[in-house]
Amino acid sequence: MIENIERDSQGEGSSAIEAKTESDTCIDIEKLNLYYSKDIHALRDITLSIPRNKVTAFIGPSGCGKSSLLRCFNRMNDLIDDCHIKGKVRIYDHDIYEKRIDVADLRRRVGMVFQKPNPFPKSVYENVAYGLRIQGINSRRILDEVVEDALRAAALWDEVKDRLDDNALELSGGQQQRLVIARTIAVEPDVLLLDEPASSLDPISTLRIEELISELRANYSILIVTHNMQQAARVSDFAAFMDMGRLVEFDSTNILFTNPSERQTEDYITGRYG
Amino acid sequence: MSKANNSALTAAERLRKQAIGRRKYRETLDCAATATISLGGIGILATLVMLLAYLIYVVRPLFVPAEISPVATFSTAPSQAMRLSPVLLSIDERSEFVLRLDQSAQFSLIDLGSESIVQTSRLPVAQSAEVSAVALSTGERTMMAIGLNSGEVLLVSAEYDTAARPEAGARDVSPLHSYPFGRLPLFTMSEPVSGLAISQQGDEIQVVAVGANGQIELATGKRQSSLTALLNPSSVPEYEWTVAISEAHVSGASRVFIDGDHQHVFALDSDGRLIAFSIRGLHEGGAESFSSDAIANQPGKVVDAEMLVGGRSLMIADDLGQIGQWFFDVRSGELLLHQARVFLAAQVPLHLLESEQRHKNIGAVDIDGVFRLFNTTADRLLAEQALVGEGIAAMTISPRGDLLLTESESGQFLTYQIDSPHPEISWSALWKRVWYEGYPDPAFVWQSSASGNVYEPKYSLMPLTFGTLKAAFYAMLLAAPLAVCGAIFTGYFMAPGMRRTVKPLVELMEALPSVVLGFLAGLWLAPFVEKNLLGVFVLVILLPVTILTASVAWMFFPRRLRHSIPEGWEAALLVPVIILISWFAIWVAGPFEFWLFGGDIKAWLGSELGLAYDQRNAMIVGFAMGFAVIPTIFSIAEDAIFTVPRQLSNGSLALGATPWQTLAKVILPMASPGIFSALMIGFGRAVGETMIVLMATGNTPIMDINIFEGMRTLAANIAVEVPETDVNGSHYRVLFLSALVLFAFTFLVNTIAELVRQRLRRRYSLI
Repeated sequence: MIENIERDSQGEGSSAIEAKTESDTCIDIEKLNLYYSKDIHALRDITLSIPRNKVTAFIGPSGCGKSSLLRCFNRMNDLIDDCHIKGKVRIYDHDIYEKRIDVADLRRRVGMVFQKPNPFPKSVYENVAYGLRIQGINSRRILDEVVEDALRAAALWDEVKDRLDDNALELSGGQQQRLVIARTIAVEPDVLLLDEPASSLDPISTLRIEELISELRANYSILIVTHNMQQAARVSDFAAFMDMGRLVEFDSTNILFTNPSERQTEDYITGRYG
Repeated sequence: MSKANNSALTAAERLRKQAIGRRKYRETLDCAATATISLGGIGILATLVMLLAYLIYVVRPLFVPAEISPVATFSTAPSQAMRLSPVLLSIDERSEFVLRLDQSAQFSLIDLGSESIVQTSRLPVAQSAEVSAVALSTGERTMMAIGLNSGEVLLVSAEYDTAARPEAGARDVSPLHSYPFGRLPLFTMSEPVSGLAISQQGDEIQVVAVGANGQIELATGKRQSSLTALLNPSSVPEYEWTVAISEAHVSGASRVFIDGDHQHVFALDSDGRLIAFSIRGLHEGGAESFSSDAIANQPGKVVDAEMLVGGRSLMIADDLGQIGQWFFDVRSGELLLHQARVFLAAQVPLHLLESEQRHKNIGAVDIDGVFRLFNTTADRLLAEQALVGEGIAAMTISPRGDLLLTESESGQFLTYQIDSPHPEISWSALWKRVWYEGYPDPAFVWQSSASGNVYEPKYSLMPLTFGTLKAAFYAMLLAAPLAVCGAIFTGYFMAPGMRRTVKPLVELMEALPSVVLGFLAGLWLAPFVEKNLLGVFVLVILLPVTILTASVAWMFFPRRLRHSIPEGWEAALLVPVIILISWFAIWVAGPFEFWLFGGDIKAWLGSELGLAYDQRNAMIVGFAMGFAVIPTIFSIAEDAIFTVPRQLSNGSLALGATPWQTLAKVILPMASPGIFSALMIGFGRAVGETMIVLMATGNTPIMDINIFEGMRTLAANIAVEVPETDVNGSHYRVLFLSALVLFAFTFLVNTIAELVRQRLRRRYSLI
């Protein structure tokens, strides 16, 4: 598996992984601790197995560490000074914090969509093609195909097919966020990390993003951080409730929302909690 | 109850009033703030406009056309004295008197104020003698040579004492003429004198006389330095004269000239040909010897000729209406005449030429009586004026060049005011190649301080503009890559803690007064580089190589060691490496220089590559001004890079881009407007920088891109020359013009920069 992540850069790997992977686990987290400095202990002893090709939601109050946890999966925390990690994170059985891992390749395999839409100030087309171009793919034929597929998959094609050369920043907020999702899936990742993808959008755009997540679930393991409980309930198959850097409860969404085993979870879900 | 109610009401009222008061106060404050801020902004704009307006106001007179306007028309009382037509008219230094000499050797002094003859006297010569030729000295205009039809050549000085001019009424301005070299003729020719020339140059007076039959006779007077002359400066200087008869022959020459160096004689013969010959031999051996001769090929028939003030070029007018300016060239050993420029003065034949004594101006009258004034340096027609009256018998321009006097054949005098304060300045004199007197070719030259009016002032702004751009170019060559790369590293790669230290430190460099930088560059760096030139070269090559090697080597250091340095602080380790390698480069250069370049690389550069080496050169300026410009560029560029939103670089990294790809494809395009404007502002600063270039270059206004030679920039030139110029003179105004050029240049660069920046910003900005 490591060989796949390390060598394979043409996107063929995902099918290979599926073929070879026996278990239904996508990410395996073992005793994960994260420190932002000596004093700030952001994640404490998290142990969790995230299932494959499902939507897993992370909920919890602000500052509980859910976004930090998400950023551990594509090592975006590396970019933060003085941030270090203890414990193990395995994606498809590979320790992603191992020395041999190529971080750039890992990030291509584990795509991430941020809270605020962040399209590049380039054309719509170039935004989607960016991930391929940085891999050295410049063939117009391949790019055209991938761009169209990705935009269709992100349910954006019909809206932007005549505006591919326009600056992406002229799109609406919801379109921008779907463009960012299209940009991410254009490089064919195995895992999609969505960090509050709809929090800065209006209700209609939010709805479209949620529909999109439901459509993407068939092909990707999706991890979504959200503040919106209804959204978590609507889109996810599994849900994890976190508080104060600890994992409080992890279960299927149905159970967690209807019959939580922890009192703290119930308080949070019913709104009795901060 | 009602009382309580009342008091409650008043309380409410009071509160309401207070609220209104507060609102009023806030509004007033708001208004005041708006007014103050607007005033500040408008004030800045107004200052800029006023600055520009003042510059234009000072510069404008340079380009105002000259004017000639009639002043007075008068004729002196018909008297015996004015019966004969004049052979000479001359105005005194203060434009108060006119000296007139007629054929009968009669002098008349005419007061221009009262328009009447003040005094007359006749030369003490035989009654039958007639003046057949007369020449004013080119040096002191009071000396003149007078040739008579009897063959005698007399030297007369017309030193009337105008300072002792009495009040109106009784006028006795005497003596009218004197004989500084005795009353006896200097020499007597065997035939009537038809042409004369006299020139005074230093301690030598040269007189050339041409006879009616073509004989040429020369007299050279050398000033004797005697003890009495040393003890009593006011004593009449004594001259020792030698007279020689030439073997050359010029038939019927009426116009004869001697050049400023007393090397050549030019004569216009009766066929209208100009014949030139050398009298050098006369001076060298003392004996007469004429070498080659040359002929100026003016296309039309020559009607008149004049030596331009300074005696370095001859103006020849012909019947096609052209005036040619001819330079003397003796480089080949033979005398050659080159036509430097031609003025197409008139459509009709020309009649008379008259050169002005203060500027390189030449006046010409055509046969229709139109007077035109030209300046040779500026290569332009200054002004023209149709002269009133019939045929012109004689004309003269005052020594100050502000008055033109003509005498018509019927004895009427006309005066014209000439208003031409800046004749030498023209677009072509400022920006085009000008063929100056004494130069082999047309050239761009800045040489504002002339020792006298016999030298052409050379106001070409090209060497200065070139020097400005050269200095800015070499400064940017050093500063642009260093500052931009430094900004990229600091803004994108460096650890925040280190950045917090490095950025203010670099910005602190900007606070260093440029005079200190210039001082260090001129007095420490320039001698140091001169002594260790090869070492500096070695360093320039070795430094980047070493830094790269050190960086690569660092990756192979033991892991434990590498991790002991906090992330992003590795660059600090380079400091000792750079110091060490600098020392090493200087140390190793000595033996290398001895081995490869025979111990002196500067001599090698000169002999092998033909590059001259000045101690204070463009490389020193590049270092010093580069150092001054780096903080400006660095600071703005770093801000531009650092302020690219993190979410964009995160977005790029999250797609699997490497940091370099993110830098090249996201950060740099986004920051490009800022980096561009940083470079432009840096360039603008380099162009306008004064003290560093003033102190670190030799300020030689040469046009050579050679990095080892100096330059003079517009700004430094202003700083150097403004203190020594006379206010409102041509030089002063040209300096202001160069300031205007500098201003326009900076304005243009900044405007282009802003336009490009806005375009880039539209392309790469977050809408």
